[in-house]
Amino acid sequence: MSAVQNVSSASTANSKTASGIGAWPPLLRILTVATIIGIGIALYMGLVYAGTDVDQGDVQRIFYIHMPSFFGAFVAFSAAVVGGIQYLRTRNVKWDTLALSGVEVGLALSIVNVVTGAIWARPIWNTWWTWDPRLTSAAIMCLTYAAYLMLRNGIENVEQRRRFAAVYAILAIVTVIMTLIIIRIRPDTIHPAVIGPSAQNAQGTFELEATRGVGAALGMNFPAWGLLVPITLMWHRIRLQNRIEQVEALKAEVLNQ
Amino acid sequence: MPDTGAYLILGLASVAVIMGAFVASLFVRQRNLTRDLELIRQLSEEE
Repeated sequence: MSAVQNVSSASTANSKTASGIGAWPPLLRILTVATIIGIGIALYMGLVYAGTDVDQGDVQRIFYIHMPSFFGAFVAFSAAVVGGIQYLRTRNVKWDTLALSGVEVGLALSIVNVVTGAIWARPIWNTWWTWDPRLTSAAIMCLTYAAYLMLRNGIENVEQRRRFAAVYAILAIVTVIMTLIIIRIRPDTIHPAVIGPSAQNAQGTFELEATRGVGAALGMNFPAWGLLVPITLMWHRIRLQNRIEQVEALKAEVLNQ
Repeated sequence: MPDTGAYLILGLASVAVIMGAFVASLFVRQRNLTRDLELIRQLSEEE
């Protein structure tokens, strides 16, 4: 097939598969709608259904997004690890695409986690930021994954780029695990633990049973932010990356004619 | 009970901005791809 035919068929495929909600695969359409509805219900549960915390006031409701968004980031970064391992095993590009998508989505959710935490901290800790072990490890995690994207874009050789990115994505999960467990192993943290006992110095703790509807709100926000959002966004990002690869290949073909 | 509602609104607005920016970046990159493809099509037709 000539380059002209390739471009023509790619253009048709692009217009059929890429643009417009109607062109998405049925399962992706269902998942996207479920995510939007899920986020709507989760927001209602967190903002309306759950009672107001007596000690912290309305700002405590940020927690319903703050904690599940970290879980969502964990899911996405774990997908990046799977993608990295599988790419090194099989050298199949689809695994590299999964890893890249996982890192991008995970980074967006990590930023949500850090920013909402800082906003909650201002009235509760009387500061936007402190170099607490948990906050420091979360910042390192975000910077590590931001560096993944920058370093990845800096390598021109495609094979080398994918190999490097795979190894990096596997190693970078250490920062996520560290962020997850640091409040259990560092007694000097002031960050509260909602599930299980908090450190002795923790400030801003609250009991799940103390306020009406906290458990139900959390039960809705966790699957919405922790599963639906990362999976749906990763799927969209994977589709975009597949089209980027197609267009890059066509560009090379036309330029080499 | 302390009045911390303003921080809640700030938090929700920041979530909307961050996630909105990510979703918008997907749309923008998709639009740019469509333009690139159109350009390639024009170039290949001229040759």
